[in-house]
Amino acid sequence: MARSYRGLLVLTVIAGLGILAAAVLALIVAPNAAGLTPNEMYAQRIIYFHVPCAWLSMLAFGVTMAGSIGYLVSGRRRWDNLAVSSAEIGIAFTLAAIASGSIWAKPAWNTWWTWDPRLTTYTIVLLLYIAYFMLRSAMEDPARRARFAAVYGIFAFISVPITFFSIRWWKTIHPVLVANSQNTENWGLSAHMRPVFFFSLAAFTLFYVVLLLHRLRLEDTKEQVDEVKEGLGY
Amino acid sequence: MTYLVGAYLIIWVVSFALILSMVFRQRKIDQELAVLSEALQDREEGR
Repeated sequence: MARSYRGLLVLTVIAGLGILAAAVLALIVAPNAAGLTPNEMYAQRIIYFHVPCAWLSMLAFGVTMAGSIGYLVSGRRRWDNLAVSSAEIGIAFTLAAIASGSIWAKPAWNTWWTWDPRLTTYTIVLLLYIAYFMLRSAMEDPARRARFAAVYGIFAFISVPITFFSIRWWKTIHPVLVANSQNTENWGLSAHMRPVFFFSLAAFTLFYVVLLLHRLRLEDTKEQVDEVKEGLGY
Repeated sequence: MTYLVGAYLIIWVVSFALILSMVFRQRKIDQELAVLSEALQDREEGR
């Protein structure tokens, strides 16, 4: 077994344990939020996984943009592999964030869905990145596909900061958890909730890194298959 | 409580679906690579 693969396996186990620890902290250790009904109190614990999912998806789309720029600058396929791998993980966690947010909304807002600025812009992000894969699947030539996808990947990312700032720019019912100024009084979380929240964010970030490394390995193998096919004259 | 369980369940299901899809694709592509490499080797030996 190659040394790098062994290292990846160790990192995978650490990431898995981190997510499990985050679940225990979120469900058992984190304090109850004050002034909520029992139903809302349980639902409030969703944020410890919902927000990291949303963060992870935005990070993933940011990496897609970086990979796209890297490809356009260098023309190396590895950058395109990074962009597509990260976009796939981003879509999965956008779905997870939207679904878990919708479940949280039922007890908190008394509705599964509303066309609030955050929800609307986040849905647009999801659709834009689904279209990214539709665009890729429409092109046969790898170099042409990578070039078009790279340009699209850069422009699609514009939707991500708009989504992030939507709850600060426009009138919305979506809570703002992270303070938007130096004044920590503005935080939507109490001081006792924050360590669990940040632990969960860190655990999900490591989880993302591990998923990305595994997904890149898949792209590397695909590249090898293409090379062998070329050697065989396919 | 139902909402909490539902939300966590969805996140776990999405995560496992992504991991499983990656595992199956990796397995399939590894098999394809092995078959193609063998074919390439056979061709080179036949020359």
